[in-house]
Amino acid sequence: MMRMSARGRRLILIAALAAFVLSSAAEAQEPQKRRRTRRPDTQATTTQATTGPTTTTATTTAATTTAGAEEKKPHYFAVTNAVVHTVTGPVLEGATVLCRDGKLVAIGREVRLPPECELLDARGWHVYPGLVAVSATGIHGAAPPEHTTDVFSLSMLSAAAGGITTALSGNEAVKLTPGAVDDMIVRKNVFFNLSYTTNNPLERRRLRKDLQRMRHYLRDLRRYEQVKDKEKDAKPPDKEWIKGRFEDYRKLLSGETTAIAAADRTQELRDLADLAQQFGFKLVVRGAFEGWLVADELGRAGVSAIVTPRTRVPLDERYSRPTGATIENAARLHRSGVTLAVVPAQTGVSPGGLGGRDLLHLNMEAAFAVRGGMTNDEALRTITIDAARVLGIDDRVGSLEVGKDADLIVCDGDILHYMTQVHYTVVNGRVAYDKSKETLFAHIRPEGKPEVPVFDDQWPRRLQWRQ
Amino acid sequence: MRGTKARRHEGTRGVALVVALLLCHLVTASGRAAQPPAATGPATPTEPESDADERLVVIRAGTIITNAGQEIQGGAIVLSGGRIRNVGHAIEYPLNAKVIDASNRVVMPGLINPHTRFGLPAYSRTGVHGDLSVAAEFHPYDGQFDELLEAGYTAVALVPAGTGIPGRALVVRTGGKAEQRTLVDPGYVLVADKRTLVEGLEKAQQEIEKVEKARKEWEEKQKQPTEADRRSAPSRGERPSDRSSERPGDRSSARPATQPASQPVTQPATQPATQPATQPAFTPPPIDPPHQVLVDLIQKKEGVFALLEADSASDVLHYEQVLKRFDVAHRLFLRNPRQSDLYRVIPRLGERKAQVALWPYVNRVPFSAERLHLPRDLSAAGCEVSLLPLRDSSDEHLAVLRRTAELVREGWGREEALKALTLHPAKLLGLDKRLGSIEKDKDADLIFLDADPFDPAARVKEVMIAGEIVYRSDRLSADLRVERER
Repeated sequence: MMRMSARGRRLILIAALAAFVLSSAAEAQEPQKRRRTRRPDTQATTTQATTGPTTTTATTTAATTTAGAEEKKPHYFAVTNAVVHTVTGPVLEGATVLCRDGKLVAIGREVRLPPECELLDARGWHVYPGLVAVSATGIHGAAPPEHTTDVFSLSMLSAAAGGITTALSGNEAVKLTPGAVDDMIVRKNVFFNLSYTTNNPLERRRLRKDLQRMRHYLRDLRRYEQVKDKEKDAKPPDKEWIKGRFEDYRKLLSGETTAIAAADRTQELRDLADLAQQFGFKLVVRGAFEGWLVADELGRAGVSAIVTPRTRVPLDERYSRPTGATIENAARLHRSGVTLAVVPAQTGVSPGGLGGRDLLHLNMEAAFAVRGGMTNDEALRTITIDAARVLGIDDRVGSLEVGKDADLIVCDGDILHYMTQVHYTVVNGRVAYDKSKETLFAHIRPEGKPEVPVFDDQWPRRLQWRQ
Repeated sequence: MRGTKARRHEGTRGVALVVALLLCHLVTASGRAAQPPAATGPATPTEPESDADERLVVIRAGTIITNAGQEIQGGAIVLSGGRIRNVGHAIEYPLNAKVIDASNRVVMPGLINPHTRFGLPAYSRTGVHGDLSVAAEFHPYDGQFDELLEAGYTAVALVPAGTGIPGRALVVRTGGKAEQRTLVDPGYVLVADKRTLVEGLEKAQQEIEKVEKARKEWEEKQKQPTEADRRSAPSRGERPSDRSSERPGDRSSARPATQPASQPVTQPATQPATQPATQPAFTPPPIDPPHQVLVDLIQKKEGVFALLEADSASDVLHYEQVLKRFDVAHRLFLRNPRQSDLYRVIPRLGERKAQVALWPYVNRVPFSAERLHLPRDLSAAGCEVSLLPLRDSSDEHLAVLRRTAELVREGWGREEALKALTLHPAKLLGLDKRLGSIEKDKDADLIFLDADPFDPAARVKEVMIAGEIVYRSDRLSADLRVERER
């Protein structure tokens, strides 16, 4: 069933209510063929027709537009008649998503469209929030990506064709904006790289010592903040030494940053979870193919994980305990309360490389989490809202909610289905990828009708063709 | 007027041939005008004589490609003092003119390369170096540019090397007298990447604000004593206008630390005597010298502009983003390798009539066999296209005409193509008043070819720079007959 947070439900309710209040009979005529149009000014709403002679209206609007700066005119973009998967709220059929200047302003069944609005008729198609890839290479340029990214590069376009609208490139959460260079950065310096390997016990000891020292400092600082008004001779703790790595630790322990650490095996995961729990910082583990063995501990420590469901590591027979990877890893971690983000084995776009395991197949990787026991909705969250939450950008991307960024994809089916094609990728309220216009996949099912039967049970949980 | 002057001379000389001293007269007239009237007094008949001593040179050419209107068949170019004085079909010139018979030649303006490091050592610089010019690393010697002369190049812009903002260019002639060699120094600012440009401009903006803040503080300080002292009120009234006129001074005073001492001294001296010594002139805080040129760019100083190097359509968008914030004078160097996605930005570039330099290539759409004619499409969209050799080698300089002929064959207008090698690079360098076409009062930097420039068999036979033949392809037997007409 749909997992729905109270906040999401409330938002959707408000949106639907607003849409109902605003609703008018002026709905666009059903177009014979799916197409992107610009809604002309004249046939839009009834208000213009009732205000008097059309000529007067025209002149007054002209005057106002010239008086006010023209760039101030808002840009509206709407996707209509779609099955809208809000992810944090319900699935709305035949709904409209309205964006204004790159932000979502209305989602609902009866949204009144503004007079001048770019329309994308998505009748029968599915709309999802843009996918979030929590690790990506080769899409954006070297840091700082907002200055170096080739926005016409094949890998960026391909990733957009795969439905991805935000990716962690380097240590920056950056949007994929094919053909535009503005508004790329979502968040800079997303993670603090934590090194806590068993290979270097001295370093581990030093890290614990440093964190201890920083914790004492923060405790003294809190105490000082509490008593400084009452006690005259209260002194703030010495902070001269807080520079370099100590500044990083200060940010980490005061919750300003999130730590990320690569850890796969049980022992590493357990150690990291202990550390995070002991010092109370936010931690993301990358890899974690043995996470299913320590899922409860990770969940208790509030650790998030970036996993690849299809990772295959066989049982190590030298141990008398279970080891290695399993397809059920993601599902078990999720059930223990670990916030999960799914990434494919390869973080780059490589059409000629490891077939079906590159970034183009982010949705397929999530589908394999379904195979491991997750529900469809849960799997969808691992590449949308939960992935955004792992990056700390869930206030802007990852779901379709009013006020969030207008990053969405229009597909011809369920995003987790292997036949599904992304037809439009919208980033910042602008169509950044149009399947019919780009040479990548334009030749594949231009009408978007899947040629295979859709199974009753969602593929790939049961592989019926195997028999 | 032309007729009457001519007739007068006809009478005095008594020659049946129509000999007009039109140009000679023009020269003397302009010379007289240039001199202060008090010095010359009434015109004397000796003056034309003395001017005539500097003999006119007349090139009788088989074909003249002027780049300013129609090509002229069997015309003549009249030169004096290294400049073109007239060009046309039936030109009259004095008997004592030196005539160069180029009736078997095609004469056209010299080619101009707006971006090269020909003959300069390879090195790399990073960061902002707006105070460095190529002039510092350029050591001219004889025969340095012989290979470029062979290719028909008469002017080149030598650029600094490196990423970021490596410095300023130097525009030189490839031959001629040493004192006439330098055309522009320092030339444009080379910008190799967007990040350095953004950060540099932001720093420059801070420098400007720093100066303005210091000026305001200074003004505040000036006001306080004058309010106490009533007598200096009138001089205080003059202050604002004086300050507004001082604005360019603010730029010059911000020049490297060698200058600022002279500025404050000269400034009070120009002001009325009412300025007492108690009011010292405003001394702006020094601007970081490497960023000075960026400050000039932001303040739109005359003649300062940037050449932005772009490798792809994306780079053009990135630069546009910067230009939206800082509207600076600029040109673009678009590197268009075999496969180029620059076609994506043609409408944008055409819309703002960009001045672009390109390689003479017929490109392809990346990952396809679809051919693209970027030079043609850009100029059709409204850009001013300049062409430059693919590499800094002499071979590529020699191949430029052949490559450009290929572009014409692929559907580019011949006139546009010729301009892309001469007039447009001159405009790009801000030298279109002097170079790039065969027109009156332009420099006589010409090349003589034995066939049409786009004929694969054509060779540059002679090169003329500032009115002097500086290169002959066949040095032993002077091919051009220089004769003196009786």
